[in-house]
Amino acid sequence: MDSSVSANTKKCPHCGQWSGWNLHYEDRCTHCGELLDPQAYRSAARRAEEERKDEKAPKVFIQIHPNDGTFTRAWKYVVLSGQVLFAAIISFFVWLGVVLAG
Amino acid sequence: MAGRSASGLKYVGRYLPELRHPLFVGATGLYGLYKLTRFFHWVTLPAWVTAYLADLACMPVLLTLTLVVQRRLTRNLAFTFPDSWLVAAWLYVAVVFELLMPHWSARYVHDPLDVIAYAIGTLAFRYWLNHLIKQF
Repeated sequence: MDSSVSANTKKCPHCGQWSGWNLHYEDRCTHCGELLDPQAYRSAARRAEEERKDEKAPKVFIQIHPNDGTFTRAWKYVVLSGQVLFAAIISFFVWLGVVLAG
Repeated sequence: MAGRSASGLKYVGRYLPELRHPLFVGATGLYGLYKLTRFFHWVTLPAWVTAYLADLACMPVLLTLTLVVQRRLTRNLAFTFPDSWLVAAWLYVAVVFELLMPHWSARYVHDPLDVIAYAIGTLAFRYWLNHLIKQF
């Protein structure tokens, strides 16, 4: 066990030895090299996969990113407000059509 | 009464020129006529008319009314819908009327051909109605 690197220790679920642990899901046992917290690793991998899928999914409204410049943010806000207004008006008329049609 | 309706038409002609377009007038007129014939049992219309007329007329009417309101609210009479918005509107209407409404109400029936009718209506709006007012 390398106590100079990690203040925490965790018992390895594979070899049963105590190992230094930085509370990180990728930490591995210093004895057998297996993951110390395989469940947290699987959860993190699943989250990463969901985020990757979410990035690939088509976006309904224009995306404003934190690193966009001031000018880019300004025109994106104009487009976004137009898109939201369009969605609201068309939803109103769809609702009105449904109500009037009975 | 006649004077009031004439002044109403003048108002539409002057301030809402989008609503004078032959495609919009034709779509709303045909749908109105269809509703009247059904209500009064005047004539028996062919099945394809009763099944798809409303779906064909839906998008030109819906998008024209939306364009009229959006132009007035944003005070930009030159505004036209980008193609991506038209695709979004077509998908939105198709999902609402062909997937969601048949689950909620027995009056609505899922029919894949309706989606094609909405697409034809959207294309008709795109080519004949989605223009600057001067270009009508």
